[in-house]
Amino acid sequence: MNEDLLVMSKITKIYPNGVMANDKVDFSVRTGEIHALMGENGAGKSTLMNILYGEHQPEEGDIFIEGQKIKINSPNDAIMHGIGMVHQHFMLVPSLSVAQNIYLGKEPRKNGLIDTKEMIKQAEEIARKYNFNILPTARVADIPVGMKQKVEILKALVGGAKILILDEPTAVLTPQETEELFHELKEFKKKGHTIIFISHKLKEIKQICDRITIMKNGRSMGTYNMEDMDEKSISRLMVGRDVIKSVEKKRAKPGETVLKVEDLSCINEDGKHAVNHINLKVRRGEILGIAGVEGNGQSEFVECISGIRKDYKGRVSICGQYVDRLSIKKIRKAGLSHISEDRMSYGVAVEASISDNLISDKLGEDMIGHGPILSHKKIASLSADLVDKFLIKCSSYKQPVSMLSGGNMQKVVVAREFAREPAIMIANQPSRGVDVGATEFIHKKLVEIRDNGAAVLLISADLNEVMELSDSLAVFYGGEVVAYFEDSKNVTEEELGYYMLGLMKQPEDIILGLG
Amino acid sequence: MNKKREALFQFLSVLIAIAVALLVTFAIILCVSDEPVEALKTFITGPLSTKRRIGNVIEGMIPLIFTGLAACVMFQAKQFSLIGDGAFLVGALATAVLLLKFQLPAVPALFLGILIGGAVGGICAVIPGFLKAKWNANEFVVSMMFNSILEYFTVFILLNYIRDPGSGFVASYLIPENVKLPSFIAKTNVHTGLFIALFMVVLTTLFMYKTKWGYSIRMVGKNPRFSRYSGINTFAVVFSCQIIGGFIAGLGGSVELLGMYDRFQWQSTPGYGFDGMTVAILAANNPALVPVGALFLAYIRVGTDVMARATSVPNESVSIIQGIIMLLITASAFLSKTKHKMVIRSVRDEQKKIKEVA
Ligand SMILES: Nc1ncnc2c1ncn2[C@@H]1O[C@H](COP(=O)(O)OP(=O)(O)OP(=O)(O)O)[C@@H](O)[C@H]1O
Ligand SMILES: [Mg+2]
Repeated sequence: MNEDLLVMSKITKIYPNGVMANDKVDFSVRTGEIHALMGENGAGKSTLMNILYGEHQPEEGDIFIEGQKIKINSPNDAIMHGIGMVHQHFMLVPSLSVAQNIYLGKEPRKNGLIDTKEMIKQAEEIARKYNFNILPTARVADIPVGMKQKVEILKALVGGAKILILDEPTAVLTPQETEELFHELKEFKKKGHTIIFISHKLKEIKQICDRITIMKNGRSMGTYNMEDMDEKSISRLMVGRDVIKSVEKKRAKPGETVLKVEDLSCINEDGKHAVNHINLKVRRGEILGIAGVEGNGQSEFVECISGIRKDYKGRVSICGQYVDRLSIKKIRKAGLSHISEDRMSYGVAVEASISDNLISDKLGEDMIGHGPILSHKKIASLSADLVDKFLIKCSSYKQPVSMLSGGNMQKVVVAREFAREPAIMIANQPSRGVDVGATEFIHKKLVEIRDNGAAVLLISADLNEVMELSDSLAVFYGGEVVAYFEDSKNVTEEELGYYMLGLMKQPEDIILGLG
Repeated sequence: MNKKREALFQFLSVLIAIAVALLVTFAIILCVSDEPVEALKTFITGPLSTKRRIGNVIEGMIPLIFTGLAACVMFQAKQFSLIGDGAFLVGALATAVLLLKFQLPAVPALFLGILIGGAVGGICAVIPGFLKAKWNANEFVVSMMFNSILEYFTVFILLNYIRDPGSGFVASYLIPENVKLPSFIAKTNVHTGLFIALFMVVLTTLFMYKTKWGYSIRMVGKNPRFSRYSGINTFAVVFSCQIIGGFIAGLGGSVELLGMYDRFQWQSTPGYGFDGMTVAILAANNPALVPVGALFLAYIRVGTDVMARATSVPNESVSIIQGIIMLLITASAFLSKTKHKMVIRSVRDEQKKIKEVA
């Protein structure tokens, strides 16, 4: 029974810039298990999995399937050996539709031609089966990240893999969607398939995984049975210390209103009312959390107030100044910082260096040089400082962002947005894809700027994160605010769930307390 | 891998690319020539054989530097506009018109003449630049069509306003001798425009890497969504980089006219805009490397010229040779395996050292 299905032995990988991402890593999985792979940002998890999927070639080491030594030169070879992968940074074709992406290379055919109608029908069916809310005909370039993630997962599931690699699949899913996915993964396992699961969320790992391999600094710290491990022992192996889960924070002392949104409505790409008459305000010294199932208007709402989307009705003001018709440059100048939920499209320019990515919002400011001139000296010291403070794992701030691990890219975004002291911070999924230690750090920073008098608007698919950090809470459903809690302590997770699923709605006058 | 090794590697890989290209070239020459060895020799050493030919190479570089810089600025923002070609032509035309229609003292005439070339070149880019920035109209197509409009416009002006009926061929009146850019090396046409070109290289490099605007241009090229989200005015960047490109190409047209010609006589574009794109690719879009790319292109141009005259190899072969060299140099995967081995070796060395110390 406990036969190893797949063995990776003494894998060493050195990237062209000389970073040793994997150092003689041994890794093996058994038939019919869900195997967790954990480790800090930059520990080498994605690298190891990309090698297994044939995207990178190891400098040393062998791969065996069922005792046979094999060579995986390309993803095609991997697919031939029954290996499928959901990438941390999606491998989708932006200009094609959702359905075309899911069935890429295996399109249903009629008389030798691609049967588009059938393809869309099948896509709808499979989406319904997994309870994933997607738009089969939408262009991938136009859909929010949450949906992109689901497309990527569906694509791997229809591929019919024997070994399925999931690199942080739940980072952008809501708890409900994660449940659905887990249900499916368990079914998958029952059929004798094997799953390798990467995540930074211990709770999830404990819930579905049988065994766990922990990586640190490119080395394997060993493989353990899940039942023998608890949070403490895992984090000690991973980080080398205990991680304090909850941030200490004092009671909020809200001051005057900073961000005020009046009667905001907008229509999204597929013609639906994505945001419907929302009134909301965030005050100095307060963290307002927004809870809600992804796709209930949060993305569009943030796009409107941050200036990315312009075609909306209603008014937005920052510190009493109307900013709704202003350019993003002016909105940011009025004091807005914005951590985007979609780091690959908005958050970073991957080809540019880390320091170029850290200064893009500061062109109007003297901190990177007077007037029209860039001061490379100032930029260097600013970058070194931020890399240091935000624990961005890199060999130099001159490195292109494409050479960073996923979590470290996120840290670049976070570091940039925190560097100017904002009046209002919009943190949309701020800890997406970052490890426990760094999450703790980001949470601390959010509380710190709150205590220094900033207003914080926190949007997160992670209910724990919202409940833990927020002073007050609003729930989004169907593009509307359906509940508002002045004090987030007065609500239970269960109660929130009802509002999030649209089963309950508070009377108007309570919600208006928010406006 | 340390910086020195990196640079050495870069240099070696270009050398190898050239060597391979020469081998292929030799094979081609072998097919079309009775005296292949002689032909290849004239191709390689011909441009250096006389002072005049060395002069030809340097003269040839000058317009290529201008249009190469123009292409660099636009390519950095991922704007594949051909407007450099039209701007070069019309820039020269504007200079000719100004100098022939207005009597100015020599120094201001020279100064204004060149400046107006740049200004008109910039104006040429307004329409394609605006259409792209505002409505996302493909700049490649628009600028190409616009170039033919500019070409006919040039012919129209030349024939109707500045043509010298006394000249034996279609050309303008003589440009006043005292506003021309003098040559400074005896027995060659190498003119002082070279210094203007090198000055522009420095200026463009500083602009791209030391100013906030240059930074914005680079970022928009790398990820426009990211730039917009960060608060960069992407409309202004897309629009302005084409105008700057047009301006530099226009300057190039004026300088070429004032340095190399007695009259304005182009009835179609001399094609330097396209060559500029080649130069930009050779220079990896880095303005500081544009003179090297321009030198290279000018050198093989003169080389094939000499070869065509001395032997039976046709001049058209220059295009083939050019193509092969470009292909090899720009192929980014070229030699990447060897490079990777070098990296691994150096990492291993470092590890060993660390272990020894420990
Ligand atoms: N293309 C690349 N070129 C150079 N270095 C890279 C490249 N990709 C990753 N690295 C480096 O290799 C190391 C391991 O990265 P990897 O992506 O495997 O981390 P990870 O464990 O998946 O982290 P995360 O949890 O943040 O996704 C990091 O230090 C990273 O900077
Ligand atoms: Mg990763």
